[in-house]
Amino acid sequence: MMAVMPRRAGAPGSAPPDDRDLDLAALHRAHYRELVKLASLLVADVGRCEELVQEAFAKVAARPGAVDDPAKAPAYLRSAVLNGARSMRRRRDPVPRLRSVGATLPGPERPDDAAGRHDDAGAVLDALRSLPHRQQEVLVLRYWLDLPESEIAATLGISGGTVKTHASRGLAALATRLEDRR
Amino acid sequence: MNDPTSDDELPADERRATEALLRASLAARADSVEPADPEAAVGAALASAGTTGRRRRLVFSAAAAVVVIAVVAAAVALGGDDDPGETELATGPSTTLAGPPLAPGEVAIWPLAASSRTFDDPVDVATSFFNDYVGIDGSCSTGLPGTSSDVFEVQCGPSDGSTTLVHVRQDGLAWVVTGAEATDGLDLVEPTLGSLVVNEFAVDVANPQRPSSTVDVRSVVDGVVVDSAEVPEGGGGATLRLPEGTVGQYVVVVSDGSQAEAIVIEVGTPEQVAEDAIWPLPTMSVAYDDPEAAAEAFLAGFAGIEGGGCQTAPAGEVAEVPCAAPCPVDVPCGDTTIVRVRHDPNGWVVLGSDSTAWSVANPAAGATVGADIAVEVLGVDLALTLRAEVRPIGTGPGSAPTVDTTTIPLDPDGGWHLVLGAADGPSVLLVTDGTTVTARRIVIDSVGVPSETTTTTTGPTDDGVPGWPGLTSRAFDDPQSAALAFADDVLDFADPTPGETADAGTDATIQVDNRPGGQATSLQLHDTGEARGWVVVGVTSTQGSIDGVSRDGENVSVTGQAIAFEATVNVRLVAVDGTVLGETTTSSGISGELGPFAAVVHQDLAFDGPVYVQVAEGDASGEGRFSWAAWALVDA
Repeated sequence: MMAVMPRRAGAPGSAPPDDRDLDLAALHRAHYRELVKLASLLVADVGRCEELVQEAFAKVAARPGAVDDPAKAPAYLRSAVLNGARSMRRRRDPVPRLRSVGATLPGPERPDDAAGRHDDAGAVLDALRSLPHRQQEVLVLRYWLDLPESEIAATLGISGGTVKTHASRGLAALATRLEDRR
Repeated sequence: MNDPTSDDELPADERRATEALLRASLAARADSVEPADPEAAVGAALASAGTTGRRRRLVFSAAAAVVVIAVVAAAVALGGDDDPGETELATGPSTTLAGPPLAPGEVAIWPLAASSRTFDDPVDVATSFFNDYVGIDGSCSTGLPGTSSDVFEVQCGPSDGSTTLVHVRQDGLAWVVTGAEATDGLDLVEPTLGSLVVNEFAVDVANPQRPSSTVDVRSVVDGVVVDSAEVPEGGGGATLRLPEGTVGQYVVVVSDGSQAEAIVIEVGTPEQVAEDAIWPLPTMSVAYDDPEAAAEAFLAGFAGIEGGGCQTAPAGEVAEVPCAAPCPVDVPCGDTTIVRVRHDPNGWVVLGSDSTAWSVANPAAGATVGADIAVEVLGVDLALTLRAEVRPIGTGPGSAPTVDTTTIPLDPDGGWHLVLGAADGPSVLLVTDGTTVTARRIVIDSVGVPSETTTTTTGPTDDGVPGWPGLTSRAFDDPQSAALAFADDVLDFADPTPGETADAGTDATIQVDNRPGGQATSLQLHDTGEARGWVVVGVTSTQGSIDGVSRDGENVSVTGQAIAFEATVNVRLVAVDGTVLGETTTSSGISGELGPFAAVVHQDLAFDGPVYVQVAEGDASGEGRFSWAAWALVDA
């Protein structure tokens, strides 16, 4: 029994919707680009990243009650984008994610292929995207957004200890895969 | 590898270098991405609407952005008085654009499949549903965007102000209703959306706002009411029944005359239901985005096991997620719980779990049992205490009457009875040792199944040969897994790599390198029987050997020959379960030649059982603790 849909705004047991302090326009202006860039670190196709971010804003627009504190709206949006990216990668990644060392993403997903270049950044991103999804997300939040451990934990809905574990394992696995590519 | 994370630590300089490279690469990638102006993208997408799949996807994406912009604009225009419930929206994307087909698991309940009616407007279909299907006189006038651009929630209600959100979506060119949700108290608590139930199932309704509320179950195809019940004033439960053998999708509708809820459920056979999810509980408003999160939440929330980390599972609709048992500091452990999960339309759910430390032989998953259950567990260490209980399906620890809880040290016969006093029906059998858990669905039928009269007593066998992992709850079914676990957990090799294997019935020798192409250590293994499985009984290496061992009280003298980096070897006293009891270092041969060594190592910790002396060379790379090892028995 049973997956249960999250309570909708206005549903019994949920907080009444109150978005008076949630300035969606300002939120959109302030965070749209950053969120697309965030998604682009995990999903190669920038067009799809833009779709993910649009859908994240649509969710906030549809469910203003879900963000009870406007200050938490950026974190909520980040979570929505990461969840969307994870779902998208699962749909497009039917093979087990326990990839062999040195595995790369399918050709069409790699912008570097189109450009014909394999620089260090491209190799690092390839290696990063071959890691388990949670490790990818923790590493991106930590080393691109420089979020503290507590914020990463809140964004991903996991414990601080789990963040540490994913960060440690992810970094070690990344180093190994980069070493194997040399 | 006593610290679960220590094996993941990079040397400091390598970690800093990797961090710097990662930061630079992420920044370079982010800097290279220039998102399109969202409003310009919307215009471009609309202008090129409609002929290819890619274009269509852009249109829907653009529509989502239009929704954002529309809501933003409305919010700005209303100057703060921006209750989304009062925001008038267009009724969705242009009705000339076709929506995607319904997603798997999504069911149209209105118009009826048997009907030829079609609706090209979301408010129209919601109004028709509210009046004709639910049977409440009222109107629908506004809509809110749902989870995507082609999904809307249309507000419907009579003149008394009660509101029902009717979920509509575009299916191709037509609009259909997929469900309804009351917003003024009325709540269909059980069953929940997507539940799999047998043909006779309980319903629970909370907070009806009027007397004479009803709940019914209807055919999806023609809307015929198959069974119905009145809901007591103030809310309560009832039982709905479909003809025996009924399977398929049905709609449960509850109405108090002014508002309504409607959900689709699945009716299945008892066997199917027995395989269905046990987590999250029906009372939980939660959906899990990934299998690891579902598994971790299940272990903590359902089994009471905190601190177990779950690994990334293979992608797919179903998966088995290995979750490590929480390990006490400095105590090697490797037991896991395999949590079986499935991806449902609303997220990942848990179907059950199995402990790898022992196995529950009976009852089997999905078994129908009487009120007197014979629980049979195999492969349990005699020192281990197990707890078993049976919970009615849908209830968690402490949230519902616990049927029976039995805590006993398992005797060598390996089984016990649970005598239950619970109502018949689907239940969950849970057996746990506190760090791992087996949870499986069973069906209790006290009438149809006679009580067990004898306990099954299949006891685990054990030939008594000592060896790692000792008398713990770990048991290995094959020598390879035992060898690799030993190399990983006790020798702490950087990347244990199996080499040559010689297998002779109940004995085997396996060569394990500390890393691919590294130094070799030979492990001798023995199959002790069903209880403990394969154990490590000997450790040798061409890099070192132990010639003599003698004990004088707490001091153990050891001599031998070894080759080691910088002529230094590590000498340890190790208990049969891997616990380090004492440690020292000494000098040995160098330059590729065996040289003699001698050491006296003090036993700091007492241990009642076999104790070994280990001679080993430290791993110069720092990635592992040792690069090779040799053992000799000190105390049997």
